[in-house]
Amino acid sequence: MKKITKIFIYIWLFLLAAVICFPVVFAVSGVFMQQWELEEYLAPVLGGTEGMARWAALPHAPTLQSLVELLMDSPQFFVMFWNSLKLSFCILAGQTIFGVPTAWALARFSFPGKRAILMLYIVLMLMPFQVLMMPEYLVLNQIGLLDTHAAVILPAVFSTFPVFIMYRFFGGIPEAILEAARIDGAGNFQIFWRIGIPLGAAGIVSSGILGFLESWNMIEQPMTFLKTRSLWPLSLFLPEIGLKEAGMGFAAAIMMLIPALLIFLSGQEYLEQGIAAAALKE
Amino acid sequence: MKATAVFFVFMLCFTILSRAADQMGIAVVKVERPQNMVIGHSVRATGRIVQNQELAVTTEPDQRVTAIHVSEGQRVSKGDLLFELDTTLLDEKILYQKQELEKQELNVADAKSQKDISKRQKENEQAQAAEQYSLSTQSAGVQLSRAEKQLSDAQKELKEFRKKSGNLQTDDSVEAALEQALVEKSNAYIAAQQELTSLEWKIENAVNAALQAAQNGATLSKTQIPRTQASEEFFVLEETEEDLCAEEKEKPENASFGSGSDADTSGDMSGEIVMGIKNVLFDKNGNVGKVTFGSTGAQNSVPEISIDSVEEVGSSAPSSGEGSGNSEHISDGISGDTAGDLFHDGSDMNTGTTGDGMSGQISGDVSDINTGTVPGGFDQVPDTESDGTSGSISGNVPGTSGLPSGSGGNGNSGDSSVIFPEDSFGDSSGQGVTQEELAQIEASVRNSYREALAAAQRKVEDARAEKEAAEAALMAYQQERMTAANADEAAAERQLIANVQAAQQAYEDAAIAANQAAVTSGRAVAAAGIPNASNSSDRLNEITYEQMELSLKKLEKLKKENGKVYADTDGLIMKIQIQTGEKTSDTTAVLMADLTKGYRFTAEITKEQEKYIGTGDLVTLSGGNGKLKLEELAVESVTVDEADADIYHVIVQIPENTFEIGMTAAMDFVKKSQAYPVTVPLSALHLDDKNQAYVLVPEEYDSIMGIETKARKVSVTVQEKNESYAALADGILGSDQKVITSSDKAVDDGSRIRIEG
Repeated sequence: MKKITKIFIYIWLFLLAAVICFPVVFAVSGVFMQQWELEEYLAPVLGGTEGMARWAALPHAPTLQSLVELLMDSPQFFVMFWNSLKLSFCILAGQTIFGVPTAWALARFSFPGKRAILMLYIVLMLMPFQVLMMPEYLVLNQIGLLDTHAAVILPAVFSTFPVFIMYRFFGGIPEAILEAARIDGAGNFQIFWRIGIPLGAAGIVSSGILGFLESWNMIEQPMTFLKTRSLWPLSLFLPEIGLKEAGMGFAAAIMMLIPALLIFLSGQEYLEQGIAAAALKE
Repeated sequence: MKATAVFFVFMLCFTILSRAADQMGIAVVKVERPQNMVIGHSVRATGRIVQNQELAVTTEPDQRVTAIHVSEGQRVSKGDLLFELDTTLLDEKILYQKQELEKQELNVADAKSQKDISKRQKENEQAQAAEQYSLSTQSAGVQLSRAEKQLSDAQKELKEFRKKSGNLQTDDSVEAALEQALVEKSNAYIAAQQELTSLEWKIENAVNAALQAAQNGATLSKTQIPRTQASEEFFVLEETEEDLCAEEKEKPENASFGSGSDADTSGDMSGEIVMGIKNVLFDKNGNVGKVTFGSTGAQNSVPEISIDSVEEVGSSAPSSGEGSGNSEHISDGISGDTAGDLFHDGSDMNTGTTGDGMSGQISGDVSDINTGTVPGGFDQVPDTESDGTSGSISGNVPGTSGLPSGSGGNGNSGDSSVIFPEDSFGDSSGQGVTQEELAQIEASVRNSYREALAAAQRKVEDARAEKEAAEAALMAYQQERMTAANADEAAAERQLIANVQAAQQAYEDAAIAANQAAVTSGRAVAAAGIPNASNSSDRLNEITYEQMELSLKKLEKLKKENGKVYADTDGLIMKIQIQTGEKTSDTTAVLMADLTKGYRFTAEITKEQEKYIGTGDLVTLSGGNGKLKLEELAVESVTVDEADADIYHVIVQIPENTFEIGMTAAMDFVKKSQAYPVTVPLSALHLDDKNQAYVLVPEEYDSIMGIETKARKVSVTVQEKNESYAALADGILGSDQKVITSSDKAVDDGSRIRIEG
């Protein structure tokens, strides 16, 4: 019985996974399709013709044309790719520089108004971009940062979400370890640097991965704050793709997926650890 | 981590590659700002220097050339020896020519004498005809006078007899009244008869003219020939005739018929002889006299013919002539002309011959009142001129038929058509008219006159009836008187009256015969007057002679110069068409360019170039491998080619001693326009598929790759352009706006470009 139940569960999970994986399969098979094939399938959606869009799992005449075209003939793609990368790493760096000490302070020090600050962080974290867009725009405009990458980077650097995550990790470090360090004659900075960061590394990496994914996929902020097209990140490339460049669109999607995937895979261990730690704590 | 690093390296490589590939596809262009400049239209054409005038040196044909002293392309001065001819051959030719000339001289003499002879023959003929005319009319006149004499004798006898019987006085008044009535009736009858005759004349003329008009042009011109040959007086006569007819119709009272019998030859038969003289003169130059005379004689009347010629228009003088007086009248009337009218015994009718262009026309009507069966009318126009007689006589002598009007009409038509050709209806010329059509035309013309003719005939009939009634009354009275007298006397008187009547008859016959004689011989005179066909052989021979003389002179001139031919003027030998040892032809021997008339430059230009160059423009000529350069030479003319409308010829007169004939030279001319603020190089100008001109301007735009440049199309209006620049209408393109003038790749609207430099 158990075995049968197990099999059913596996089948169910497989089906769910297939559904979840479908967009990726869609994109991957699309990269190898020729332009005419893509147009035939997607015309009802993108071309405005009658009927329903169809899709084939395997291309009729597989080709690397779209990929070559994207990589060889589209310098624009690379401009945007490097823009995206620049934004993401700047944001991550900023978050690391400012978020880690903040989270440490909130987690390990007690001072008046600490609870109020935490409350404010949570409220701000819950607020969507649409709410913050207007004040941010006004402030950026006032300090003359509109239409620069700083306009995207700075608000993200001071995002509350990584602080909140790292706050949890730092809070989970046992007080006894810190006391032992203090007894050994370690100062506050040494405790933070020698004990806090190594013990909270999982949290830092987790927040970093999450932060990367968020900034990599960021679309509203550049759209709102960047006017110069040459500053646009890759997330704004795909909206410009029409039916005629559908193949290139698929190729671009795949290329965009790869860094996120690589980052995730390389930080997977920490991420799982960190999430588990967060879960265990409560 | 490694995979991530590899990926990023991989992406970096492709970034570089794609950028490199992208730059390959961008056109590199050159740009320029529009300039404020003047558009110069340069006209450049290559042409040749040619002479203004060519000169052909010719010589006598068929002469042998012994030496040629010039060669083609050589310059010669005036008087330079060109070539020499063989003098022996020249001598031969001169001799031959002289002999020919002599022959021709003889020909001329022959032709001249031939012409004299034929002229003399013609004159002789005319003289003979005139003589014949004079003779026949004289003899007729003699017979007529004889008949008249007999008539007058018979009348005299009757008168004497009556005188003897003694009852003359008592009845005189009654008889005179009756005779008077008869005379009046007779006059009326004659007048009616004349009217009828003239009308018939007119009809015949009209018919004839209509018929001739209907016939073709050849016939028409033929009928005109006698007119043109005849002297001017002929026409005067014709007009006079027509006028007369008209006048007679309008004013019959003009015809004055002398009723007086007191002027008779014998002078004692008053009442018996009735004379009517009508004299009308039409004159244009005072020389044409026309006399119409009519005489009526009742029973034993002696018609008296009197001719009166007056020099002034409209004056008329009825004259009842006595025999001796007539000749005086005539000689007076025909003022100083060699009038040769001879009226024997005062009752003879004769001709008038006039000298020096004088023409006279006499028309006479003689009718017999007694019988009414022999109406006679004749016109006669004797006209003799001193040289080349031209005259016409129209006579009308109808036969003795019972219908005077009908026969008269026929007689008229026959004569008039011959002598008076009419061509007044020349406007309608029907070619190839059939007989039916001619008949139709004649009928229609006759129809139009029918009423007038009928009226005239009626009038004649009425007049005759009245006259006959008057005669009957007179006869009855005489009869009555005779019955009152004794039977013997009556018988004797009747016998006498019969004699008078017989004499009257004889007289009338003689008169008719006289008329006929006059007409016939008159025609002969006219025929003799027609000139012979012109003969120009003598003049033709003379012309030939003159021509031969001229060519001989030329040969002699050549001989005088020993057969050497010299240049007439300074020139350049263009072509030599004779060869040493060969004979010359009659065409050009040597063709020279006349250097005294100057040179000119001539070149061909296209229609496009022609727009910018015109007469008077100052051009620069260069040639001689750049050694010669003439500036500011005015264009003499720019003319379109006769064969090809796209080619024009430019002619520029050039000063002496610069270019040589035959040289090639290049002409340069720049036509400057006004200054245009926006002028772009022609390479910047493009034409779209609607033939609209446009330029491409660089435009920066914001792209993913950064600031990029692309080409933008700007439609412009070209105001003027030459082969390198185009002036654009101001406004559309600012003078700050750079335009793309060249590119290394095809550039169109929207193409990405990179500006060089």
